Amino acid sequence: MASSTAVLQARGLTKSFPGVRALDRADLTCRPGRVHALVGENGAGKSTLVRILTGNQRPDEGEVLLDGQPVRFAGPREAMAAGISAVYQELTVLPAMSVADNVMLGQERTSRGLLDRAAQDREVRAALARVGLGDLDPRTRAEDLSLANQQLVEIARALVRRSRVIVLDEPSAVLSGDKLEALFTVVRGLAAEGVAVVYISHLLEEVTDLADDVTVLRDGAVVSTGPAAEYDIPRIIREMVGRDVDAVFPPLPEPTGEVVLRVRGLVPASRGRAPEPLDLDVRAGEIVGVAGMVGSGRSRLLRSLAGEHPRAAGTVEVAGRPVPTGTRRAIAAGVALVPEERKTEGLVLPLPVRANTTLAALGQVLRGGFLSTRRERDVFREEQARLGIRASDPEQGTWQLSGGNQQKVVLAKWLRRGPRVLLLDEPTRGVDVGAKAEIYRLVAALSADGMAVVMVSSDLPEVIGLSHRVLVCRGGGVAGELAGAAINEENVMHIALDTAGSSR
Amino acid sequence: MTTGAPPTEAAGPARAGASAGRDVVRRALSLLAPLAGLAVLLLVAAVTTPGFYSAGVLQLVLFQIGLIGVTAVGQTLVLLVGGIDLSIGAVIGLTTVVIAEHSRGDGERLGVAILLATAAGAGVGLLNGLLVVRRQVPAFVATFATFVLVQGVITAWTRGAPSGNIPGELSPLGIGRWLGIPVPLWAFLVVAVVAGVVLGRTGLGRRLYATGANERATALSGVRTRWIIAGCFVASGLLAVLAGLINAGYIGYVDARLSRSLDPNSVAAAVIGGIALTGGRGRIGQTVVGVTLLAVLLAWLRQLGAGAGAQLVVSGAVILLAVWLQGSGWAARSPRRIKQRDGVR
Repeated sequence: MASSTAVLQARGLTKSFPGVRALDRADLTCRPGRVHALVGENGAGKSTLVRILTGNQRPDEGEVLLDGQPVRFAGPREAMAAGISAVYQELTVLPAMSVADNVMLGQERTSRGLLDRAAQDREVRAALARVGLGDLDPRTRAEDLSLANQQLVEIARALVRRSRVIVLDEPSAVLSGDKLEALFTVVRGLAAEGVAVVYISHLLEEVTDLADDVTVLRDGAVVSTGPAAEYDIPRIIREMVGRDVDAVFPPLPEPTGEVVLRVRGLVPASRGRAPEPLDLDVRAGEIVGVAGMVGSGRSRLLRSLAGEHPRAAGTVEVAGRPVPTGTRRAIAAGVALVPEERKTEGLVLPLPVRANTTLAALGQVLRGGFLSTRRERDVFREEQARLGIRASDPEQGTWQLSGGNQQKVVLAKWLRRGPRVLLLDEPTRGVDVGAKAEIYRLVAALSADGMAVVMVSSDLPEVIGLSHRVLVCRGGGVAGELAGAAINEENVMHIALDTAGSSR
Repeated sequence: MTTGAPPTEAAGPARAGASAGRDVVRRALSLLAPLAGLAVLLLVAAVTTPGFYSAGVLQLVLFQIGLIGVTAVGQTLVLLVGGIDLSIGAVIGLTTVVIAEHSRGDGERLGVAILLATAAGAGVGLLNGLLVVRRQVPAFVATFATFVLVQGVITAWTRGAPSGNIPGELSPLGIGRWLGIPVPLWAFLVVAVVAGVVLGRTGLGRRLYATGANERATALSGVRTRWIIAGCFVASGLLAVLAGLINAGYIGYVDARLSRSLDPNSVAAAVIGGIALTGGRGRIGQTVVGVTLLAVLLAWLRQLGAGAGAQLVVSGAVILLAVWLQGSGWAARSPRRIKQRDGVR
């Protein structure tokens, strides 16, 4: 059909990682002079799609067409040489180098083997002018620039490479207000010059403002694609989240216990704008879900509750006892954190499962001051039976377990200490569906036994299905709270994305 | 019993026996490669160097095992928490100089001199530890810097020509024997047994391994990982002092060359024994075998008439070879590699 005018096309791209199908027969068509918005929840496959288009990953199936011809990029350099560049959320500007050196990085102009500074300067100035930084001295050191301008420098870098396709991965995440408007002007300008722009963003109002075409991804597959005029925000949200709840959630009894976790005026320390102070009471037997987009401050909030992240203000109490900052003191006060990065923060993978199970409570397996391996094995078997950990043997290496069983070992480690407050950060990431349901049942059972649970998750059905209340984060702080019947995906998304609509 | 079968309650005691047995086998296997190397070396030495199995050579080898072994145990502790201690040779030199300069051969002053040397060694270890845990300086760089620093202090203090004598009261530590075995070897055995028990049988040892394998996760579990890391450097410094005392007692005078030695032997011994340079993996038993292997190798080279230079070449080559073998998956199927393979999103 329109492939004659498409500069870059993805056809049937499929990519699997262990336990996850990140991309499932995804198509994408980028036309010159148009801004194509790619939207979807965290983990919907946007990043994987971009990584394939830019040569950072290879698809398991499907093909990428450039000007109608199938191409296979061996790496990002080949993709760049073919005119495809990406600007990522995590900026790759080298802070100690000048703007000019950053822009020309990897594209240095030389004359008889030496850098041709004059030619470089001309080129840099031209590129900077196109991104609205015509006044900027190319010799400025990049670290002296604002984040917004660093981002524009990255776009300039893509322009110097004569890129015909530029992917902007959540450029608005670090920008606000007039900075954002300036970026939009630049993006529109690029499109007017015939560049095909792929624009990834969570801010749907901006997406509908800026984009010419929209593609919605969910669970790795394209839900719909079409001209932006056919989309409004409610439709995008519906398509982003509208899926069957793919795991069974256990019934949650109403919490009747006393307040265990009491938070007053908590402000996690942050380099940017300080978020609103948080007051929060969590009762024994209550599960509070925390939703929000990646980067909205959810994990930081949880870590500051766990004493892991410094607090700018506020107090945290567990059963009336203050919880000071500091991992050890928080643990002593009865707080346990199941961190987001299971493999690097939750477990010591090279150790056998028994050793990970007892790591936070080694005192329980001492006999006469010495470590008793037999006792340790018994402790592991006890937790194995309680949590249903599928390991062949207490000596099995923790690295050999599946994600779900690894997560159960992390839980077991904390249960040995009998915490009052359980903080879960992405408890089911990288866990297959069956193990997910088991973890849900475990968390529900622990809460029913009187534990106060706070759970951060990007998995919306999980937050909704397993929480008595839901806090929604945005811009570093809690932007809204949902309870009872108001907990549904649309309401969470409206608060998370700050789109006008229901509740608060 | 088939592996991978779902666990059942009835199988409990039997499984405990099976896994304990497997553990013993695994430990034995980890010693296999260095032991095989030792056997081959002893054989080659016997064939090529007829005078190798003489009482004199044996005594020298046993002394060397003791001297290198004491430092290798300290080095092993540091390697296990993911560091490396290059300052050991400097602390050995410093100890000798402190003893000689303070006591000037007077046995009455030996006690104070030993205390001073111990404090100096602990101080160097603490400095190494603080640089690593508080300033995140790579251990290689931090301990190399203290090595150079201590060398400088020695040279400035003694004006490059150390004087004074080692009191004769110290010589039993270097040349004495008990039950026919050199005292340095006893010292090594005691140190190795204590370290082995602490590492294998105590909570501290478990925390130490966990710290070396994944400091972040261990700290998040409520373990004082920084204290543990710093403690290992201090222990290494103290053991270097002990080695310095043994050496001073053995040679009985101040060896000016000694203070300039980077002393790669502790690293070489630990690494050929199979202690991972990446931290978290290795047992004291492996270090003991590695020390023996290295001491025999060095003694054999001396029998062949090789000078100090050739011995350094061999130590360096041994480190490279062992690291290369570890890297290519001889010592263990490292979990780190497996972790890298299963693509983390």
